[in-house]
Amino acid sequence: MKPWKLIGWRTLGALLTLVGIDRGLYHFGNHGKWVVQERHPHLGWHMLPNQNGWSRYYDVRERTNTLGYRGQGWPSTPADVRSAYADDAPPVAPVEGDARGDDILCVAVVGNSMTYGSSVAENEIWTARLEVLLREELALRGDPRRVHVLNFAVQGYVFDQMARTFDQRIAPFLPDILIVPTTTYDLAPMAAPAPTFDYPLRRWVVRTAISDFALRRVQGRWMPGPSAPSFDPEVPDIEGNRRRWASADADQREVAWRLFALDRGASPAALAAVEPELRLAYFERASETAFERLWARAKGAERSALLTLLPPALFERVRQTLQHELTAQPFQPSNRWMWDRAASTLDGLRQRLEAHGGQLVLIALPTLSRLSRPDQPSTSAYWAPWARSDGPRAFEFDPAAQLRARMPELASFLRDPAIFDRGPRGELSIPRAAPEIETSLFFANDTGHYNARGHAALAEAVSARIVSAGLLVNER
Amino acid sequence: MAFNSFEYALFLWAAFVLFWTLQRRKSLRHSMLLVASYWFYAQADWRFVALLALSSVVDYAAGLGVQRARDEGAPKRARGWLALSLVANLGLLGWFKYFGFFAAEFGALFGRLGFNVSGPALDIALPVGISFYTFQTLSYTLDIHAGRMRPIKSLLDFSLYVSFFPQLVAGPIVRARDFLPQLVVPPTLTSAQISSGLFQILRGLAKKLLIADLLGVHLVDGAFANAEAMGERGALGVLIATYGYALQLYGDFAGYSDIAIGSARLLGFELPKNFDAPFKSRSLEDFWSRWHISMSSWFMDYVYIQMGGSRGSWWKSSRNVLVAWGLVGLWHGAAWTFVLWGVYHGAWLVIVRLVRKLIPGGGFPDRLPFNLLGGLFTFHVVAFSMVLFRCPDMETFWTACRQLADWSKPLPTLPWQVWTLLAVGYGTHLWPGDLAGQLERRFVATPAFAQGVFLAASIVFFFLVTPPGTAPFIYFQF
Repeated sequence: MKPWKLIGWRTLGALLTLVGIDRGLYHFGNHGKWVVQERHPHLGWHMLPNQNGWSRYYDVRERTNTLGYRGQGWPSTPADVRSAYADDAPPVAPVEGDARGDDILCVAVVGNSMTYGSSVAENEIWTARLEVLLREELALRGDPRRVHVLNFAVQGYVFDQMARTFDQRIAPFLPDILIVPTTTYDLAPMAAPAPTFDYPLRRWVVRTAISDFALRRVQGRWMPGPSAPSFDPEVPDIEGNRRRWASADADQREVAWRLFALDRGASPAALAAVEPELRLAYFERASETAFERLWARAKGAERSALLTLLPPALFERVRQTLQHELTAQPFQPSNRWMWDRAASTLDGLRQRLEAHGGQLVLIALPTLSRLSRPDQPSTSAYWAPWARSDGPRAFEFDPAAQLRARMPELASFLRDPAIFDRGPRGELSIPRAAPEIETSLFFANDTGHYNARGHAALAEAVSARIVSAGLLVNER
Repeated sequence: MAFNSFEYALFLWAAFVLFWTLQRRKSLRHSMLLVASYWFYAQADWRFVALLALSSVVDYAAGLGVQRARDEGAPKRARGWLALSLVANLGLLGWFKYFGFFAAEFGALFGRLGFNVSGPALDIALPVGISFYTFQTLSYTLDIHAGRMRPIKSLLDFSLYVSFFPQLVAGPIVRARDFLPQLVVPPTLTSAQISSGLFQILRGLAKKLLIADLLGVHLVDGAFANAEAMGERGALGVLIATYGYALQLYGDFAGYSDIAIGSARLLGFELPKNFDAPFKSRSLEDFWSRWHISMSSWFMDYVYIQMGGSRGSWWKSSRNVLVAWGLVGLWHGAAWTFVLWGVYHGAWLVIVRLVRKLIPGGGFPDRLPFNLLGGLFTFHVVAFSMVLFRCPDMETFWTACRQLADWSKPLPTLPWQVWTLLAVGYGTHLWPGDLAGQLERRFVATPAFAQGVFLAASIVFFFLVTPPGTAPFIYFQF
């Protein structure tokens, strides 16, 4: 018998089974329908490119382009962005000089799910609408430039990741305007970048319904997590510490050493004599203990500095605590250092933009609670003075008034604390009986995100502000 | 490219189709397989492909040289060619695997004597599979020198023998006289052969992914991480971790060997069996005739017997055993823990022989209670040696030994899944009769399409229950 006949039936059986299981999970279990993110050593995570999936509630299609962002028809991708797409690529250096043609007005937008447009069709996202509005405006003015509004938002991103996105992906596009929509959520430090995680055909495998089913339904549910060895820092274990020390990377070693020196309040010179043993003994758990003591004592900017020394094991816990503090009391003086830290990040962004004459625009994205309670402080309270102090190349804009005007009845209704309540999982919710609920700019079941009306209103407000600020004047 | 990756599945499928398409064209078929094998090896580190080729060329020439010298009645010249092969292979092995270790040890020794001989530290990368393919090529020249076989004339065929991808990275160590004749005979393919090959691969994947990897992640890695992790476990905890590691190591290595044998069978080659239910052994000798058979038989034939074997006095044969096992330990890795591990096994073999010598009748009677006791004793001797094999350093090992005396600590709380893995792993292994053989016969009798369905369903199942990513095979490091 011919070899291909012998293997053919087996191959056919195997392929049909694989396809059958995958399609079965897709159609009957709703698995593998979402667009997929993957870990990234610099950005924490990013979207896989060239995907076509469903949004979170399976209501609209979501596509990613060749760079892994929402939006099609982008200008030709600079070569250094394509090379930066490799997992281990270093940040892209800003291109010197004006490499882009004069016939394009390039607006880059960073952000998280509110700008990504969760559950909103691609052409209804505020960045897509903004592109249309700006194009119309330029046409009215007889300006021949084409407009590209490039949406670099990724779900879950904070300031740190937005700044890294600029370095990694946006800089080579030389944007005329960089829009940074802000909420208090963005101020917390980003989740620790995951180590490179790779296996053959990874990108192909993670898109399958079987992979989705395995990740969401099986792993961590039917099999326990790996058992971590416990460690008592009080028990001297020089040899064990030496081994761990040897396996640690340079950054970890530096962190442990600085934590120890800080905790003991001793100068490095005084500790040099006993350095080998003490450094080893204070590694890992001991450095965590040192960090916790230091964190409790630290105030304001000291915490900001201390964040760079956060041991990996504590990172997520501290990050979540900070996120919680920001959500609960963003304007508390004790949290001021996080704003200053974000401002420092934005300073860096502004300087890099200025290198080619770009303009930074900050938008204080209004949340539902802010729209329904005008007396509630806006992030503008911090960002407006910062932008003013930073010269003409940056300005801040709070569209809350314009958006509130789109849902006056509903906003007024939700102002009542008895009605404006928290949902079963702690999120804000809009009662079904609310008046003029159809005017809502937010999803009723997901009040953390704008619906299509919200995106349209935001686009109009932003467009109007850009026009009034004179940012469309062709300076080339 | 690991055997447990999708990449390998595609690679093997493509190699299969190409190989059998060229069924009637020997040179092309072997050339294709050689290129595929070199490409496979280059996936690990392309720089060492030249080393593989060099080893092949040297031993090919040495084999021809030895034979010519023998034919011309020039034993000195034959020994010269053999010495070339030995120096080349052991030199490669010595440089890449042992130079750093011995340099450090000699440095430390001279340092203790008051001489400072510290030189620049060399960080030499270990070529994948070097311990395996150098031993294969050595067996070739040794066999020719001993007159057990004649050299092969085709460099292509010899290179294919050295680099044949299913057994290249971690064995089985195939003897030239077993493999080379298979290159001469035109290959034939039957449906049963494919079914059997696929079954072997599935069996290997199950051992590796379901047993070894899961036990590693959920039990063994945590227990053996370091001395302090070991120090909290108590005797019962150390025993459970040790039983877990014994099963993990078996699943990992036997799984690899099964996939290698299955892959070779799909290409029409038969590789020797490397494992034969080793935990069913009733004695240590029995164990070593069932565990990593190709390696233990290599040392038996080319080291132990060449040194005199069991001929001569008890002292002399005991010395031979200890030296051979010391070398077995060193073969596994350049560290004193491995040497100690080998000597430990050698010492037990000597003790067992001594006890047998002292018992009237030359051993225990072949009855169930004695066999059970012998099996338990053998298993624990072997499992204890694996603690030494697994511990990252001697300190962890001594901590494990101390904990074995501490019966005050309760049995550690483990998830039910871990107990299930242990029960299924040991249960299927110790099942009376040939369970795998029965399952294989049933699989082979199944229609081809159903085999494909079963294959795909099994792969999906493996994918679902194992952690994401590909855990490397333990024996790749040797």
